[in-house]
Amino acid sequence: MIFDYETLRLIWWALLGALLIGFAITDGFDLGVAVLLPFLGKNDSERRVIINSIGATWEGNQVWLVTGGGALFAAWPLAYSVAFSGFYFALLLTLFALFLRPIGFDYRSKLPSPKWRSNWDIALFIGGFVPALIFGVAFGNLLQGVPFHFDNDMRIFYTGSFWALLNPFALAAGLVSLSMLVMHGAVYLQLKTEGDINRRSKKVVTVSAIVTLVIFAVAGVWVANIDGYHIITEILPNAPSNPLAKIVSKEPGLWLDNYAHYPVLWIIPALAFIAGAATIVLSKADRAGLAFITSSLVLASVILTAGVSMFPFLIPSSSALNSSLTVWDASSSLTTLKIMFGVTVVFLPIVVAYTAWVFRVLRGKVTLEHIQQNDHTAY
Amino acid sequence: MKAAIPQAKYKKTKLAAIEAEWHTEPAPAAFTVIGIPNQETMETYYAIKIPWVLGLIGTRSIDEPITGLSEILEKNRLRIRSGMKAYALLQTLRAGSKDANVRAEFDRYKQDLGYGLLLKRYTENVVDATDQQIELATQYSIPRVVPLFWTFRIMVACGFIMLAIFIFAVIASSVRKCRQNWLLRASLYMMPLPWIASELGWFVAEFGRQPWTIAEILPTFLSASSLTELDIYLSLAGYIGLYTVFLIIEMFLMLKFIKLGPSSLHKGRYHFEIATGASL
Repeated sequence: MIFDYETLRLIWWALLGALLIGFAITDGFDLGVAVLLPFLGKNDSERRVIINSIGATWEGNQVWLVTGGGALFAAWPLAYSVAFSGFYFALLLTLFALFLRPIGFDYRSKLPSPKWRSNWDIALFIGGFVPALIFGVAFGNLLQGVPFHFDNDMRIFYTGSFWALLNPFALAAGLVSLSMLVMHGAVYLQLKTEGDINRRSKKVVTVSAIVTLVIFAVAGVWVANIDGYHIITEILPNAPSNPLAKIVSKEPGLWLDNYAHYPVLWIIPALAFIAGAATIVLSKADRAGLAFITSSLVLASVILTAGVSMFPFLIPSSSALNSSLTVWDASSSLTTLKIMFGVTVVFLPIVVAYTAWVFRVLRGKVTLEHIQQNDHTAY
Repeated sequence: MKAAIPQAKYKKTKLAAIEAEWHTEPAPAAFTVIGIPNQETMETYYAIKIPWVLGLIGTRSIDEPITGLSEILEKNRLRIRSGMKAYALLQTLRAGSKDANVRAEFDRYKQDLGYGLLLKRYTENVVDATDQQIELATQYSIPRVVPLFWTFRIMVACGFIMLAIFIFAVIASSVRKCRQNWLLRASLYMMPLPWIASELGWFVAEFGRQPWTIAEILPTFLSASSLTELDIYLSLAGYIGLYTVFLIIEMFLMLKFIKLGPSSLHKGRYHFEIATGASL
C-alpha cells in the first residue's frame, strides 16, 4: 500500500459514500417497509407477513449505519464531532425512533390483543418514518451549510438550533429520502410477498417512484439557487489537516460548479431518473428482482449526486466560512487512514460476501401459510 | 488487584491517588488498607497499614519506590510553567512565524503543552497566569483522592466477598451439602456484587485519569463539546424515560409468561400435558 495522503483521503471519501449507500440499500428497505406496514397490511396475518419479510435481516442491515458512524469517527473525526454535537437532538430523535424497532419486532406478536399489536405497528411505523425523513433532512442541511466555528484552540462551537434544521429546503431533501426509501421498501415487499400485499406494493412503487423523482428534480433546481461553497485559496491535498488554513467563499449556484467543470458527472443525477423510470416499468412487469436492482441504483445515484455537488466539502460552515470541513483538511492522520484502509480491504469483502450469502439462504417469498405454521416463532 | 499494577508513567498518578500515597516513602511502600484520606493536609488519618505490600504489588520489586502525590504535584508545577512557554511559542507559530529558533524552542517544550492548557480553566490567555492560578492548576492536575480511595476499596471488597462465597460453594458441593439455607441466601444476595464491582471499576478508571481525556495532552474540560448543561440533562432524561418505559413493558411480559408457565405454547412437551390427555 503505497498510496499518498491525497489518494487515501479520496478513498475514504468514497468509502464513506459506499457505507452510506450500503446502509440506504439494505436498511433502507427495512425503513420503507416499516413505514408501509400499517397501510399495506389490512389484517393481522398480512401485517405479520410484512414484518417477517424483513424480520430475519433488518438487524444485520442496521450495522451499515454503525459502520458508517465508525468510519466517520475514524477517518473524518472533525466532521464526526461537528455532526454529532451539532445535530445532537436530531440524531437522538433518530436513535430513539430506531429503539422502537427491535422491541417492536420482538414484542408485537407476543400477545394476541389487537390493541397491543396495533400500538406496536404504530411504533414500528415511527421507527421507519423518523429515521428515513431525518437522514434526508441532514443532507439538506449539509448542502446549505451549518453554523459552527473553531476557536483559537481548535475547539468546535455549534451555534444553530434544532428547529433551524427543519427549514424548507432540508424538509424537501427529507421528503426525497423518505419517498425513495418507501419506493425501495415497496419494491422489496413486491419481491418477498404474494397475493394482496404484492398487488398493493406494486401500486406504491409507481406512486413513490414518481414522487421521489419529482421532488428530486425540484430540489435540483432549488440547489442551483441556494448558496454553494468554494475554496478560493490554493488547495494542498497532501498537507496535514488544518481546517483554518483556507479561505472559502459562497454564492448561489456554486454547488453545480463540479458539474460545470466535469459535464460527465451529469450521468449521476441522470441515472437517478433512468433507474427510477426503469423501476416503475420493471415493477409493473412483475420483474421485482430487477426492479430491486434499479431501485438500489436510484438510492445510490441520489446520494452520490449530493456528495458530488458538495465535493470536496464534507460540512460547510455557514457562519464562519473558513471553518468549513473538506476532504483535504478534516481527515485523520495519514497513518490512521492507511491502517483503516488495510482493515477495510480485508473485512469489507467478507461482510459483503456473508450478507449476500444470508440473503441467498433467505430468498423466496414470505407467505401467510408460513406465518400460520410458525405462529410462536415468527415475529 | 490488577488495578494496582499500572506501569506506564502517567498511571503513577492514578496509583498514588487510589492508594492515598501522599508522600514517597522508602521502598517497598506500605499498603493502606483503610483510613480517612484528607487532600487538604495530604495525610490519611486513622490509617491501618500493611508494610511492604503496596511496594510489592505496585512495582513487583522491593527496591523501587512508589511516587507520592506531593512529588507528582511538584513535578506538575514545573511542567505547567514549561507548558506556558510551549503555549506562547505555539501562538507565535500559528501566527505564521517560520523562525527555526522558535520551532526548536517549541519542540523543546511541546511535551508540556497539555499542562499549559490546564491553565485555560483559570485564565483565557494562559501566558499571563499568576502564581496563584498556577497553584490552582497544579492542585487540579491530580484527581481527587477520597472518591478513588473508597470506590477502589469497595470494588476489591466485592471481589473478596465473591471469592469467599465461591470457595464455600466449591467446598459445599464437593461434600454434597450445597442446599444449606445460608449458602443459597448468600448466593442470592451476592447477585448485585459483580455489577457494583464493574461500575466502581469503571469509575476508578475514568475518575482516576482526570483531569485528562488524553493523558498529559488534552484536558477533559477542553475536550467537551459545546453542548449546554440543559442539552445533556434533556438527553439523559430522554434515555432514562424511554428505558424506564421499555423496562416496564419487558417486566409486564416476563411476569405474564412466567405465570403462564412453560406449557403455555401447548407443544405437549411436558409430562403433565401428556398426563391430562394433551396431544403430542
